[in-house]
Amino acid sequence: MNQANDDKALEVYLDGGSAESRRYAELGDELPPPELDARILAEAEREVKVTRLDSRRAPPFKAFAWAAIVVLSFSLVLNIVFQQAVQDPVAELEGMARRADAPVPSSAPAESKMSEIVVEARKTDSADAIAPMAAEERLRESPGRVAAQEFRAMEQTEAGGVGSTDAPASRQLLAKQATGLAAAPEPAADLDDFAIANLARDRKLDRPDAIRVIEDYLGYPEDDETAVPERRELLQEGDSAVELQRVLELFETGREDDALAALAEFRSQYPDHPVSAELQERGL
Amino acid sequence: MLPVMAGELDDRDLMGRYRDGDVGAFEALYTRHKGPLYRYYLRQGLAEAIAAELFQEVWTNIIKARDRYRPTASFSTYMYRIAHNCLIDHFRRCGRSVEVFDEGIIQVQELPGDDADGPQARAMSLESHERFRAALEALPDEQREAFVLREETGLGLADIASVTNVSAETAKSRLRYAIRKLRTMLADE
Repeated sequence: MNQANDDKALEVYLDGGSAESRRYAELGDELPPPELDARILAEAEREVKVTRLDSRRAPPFKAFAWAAIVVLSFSLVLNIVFQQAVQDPVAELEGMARRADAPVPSSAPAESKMSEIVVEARKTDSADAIAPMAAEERLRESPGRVAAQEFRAMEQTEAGGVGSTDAPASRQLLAKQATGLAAAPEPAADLDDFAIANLARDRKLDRPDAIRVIEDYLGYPEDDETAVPERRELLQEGDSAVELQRVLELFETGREDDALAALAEFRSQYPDHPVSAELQERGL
Repeated sequence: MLPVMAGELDDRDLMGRYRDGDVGAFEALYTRHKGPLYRYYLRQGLAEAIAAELFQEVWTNIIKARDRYRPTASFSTYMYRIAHNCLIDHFRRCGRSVEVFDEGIIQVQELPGDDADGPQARAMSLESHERFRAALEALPDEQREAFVLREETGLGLADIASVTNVSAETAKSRLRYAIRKLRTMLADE
């Protein structure tokens, strides 16, 4: 049988219906024994059950993992938000200072001074004394007035005995602020008024450190108060205002005798000074 | 999952359903292929116990590997490739030469000539189908496997080549020699 015959026989076979195929089919259709069928089908079912069991175990674990991720993420976000909220208020003050000063070109020098104030405040850790919301309100005013109000607030704190140990430091700080802000034309007038008014009070309360700081700022040599006449005039005006305010406070607190005595002293010092309408109503 | 109607789904669908946990799909698949696969082993001249063992081994592999099953080829090709590998492993365990199964070694093991004690002589003395069975067993392993695959599964030459891991030309040669020898052995009937 040559190659061509073999190929032809193969073709016939592959086409089907060959004697070889017929003879093969006569061998029978043996099947695996039933017990073998049962064994294999049981194995197939067992494997599926194991897989289902695994998949049933998996979801709670997955759910737990997802829950943990969500909780941790939420905590992280909360932590970040909280840290931002309780961040150093000085930083917020810094931002507000920029916003408040930005639209006014003439306040550019004051802006730089405000930044210095913020830096100083950060150094002295006085940030907690500056509430951000109040600071924003203050920054809407002129920088000089803000510094003056800061100074007055500290003065009141010291007078009340709170933080008195820090008094010299705070005075120096605010004196620095005042000195810096004096470079700006408008705020300087506010600071002068403020400084003069406080100088009179410090003299009455006998606060040499405070007096020296303010006098340094005002340019008053301690041994020559008349060196700058216009300053002296301002000082007197400040003194009279303080005296009148003191008289009024004594009246309001029920110390009429002291008030009358103070008023008499005031009149002796400032005989031509007009008194306020309120004091006039009290018959003074 | 809806109950499986074996006649409605092809093998790959059934395997996919079984992968998703449908035992009924596996049962349908098993019912469809158990006879041909079992006979594939029986016709290799193996004892029934060995055939059953290899048969179960194939199905166990299919069950275990169901998650990895990818319907890139027909399920028959996939299953008989596993069956072929199990058969080769069995031959190796038995110390039987499997070189002829390898690509490029197309050793046509000629049947013994007129040896009165050889398989050919025995085949001639048996009844018709028993003679054919004997003739089949007398074929070289790789030729017999190609012939049985064709008879039991209807696979084409390309699929037979894929299952047995040889080229299509080699598969064709094996089948051609198998036909020639069977015809020669049964010519006297």
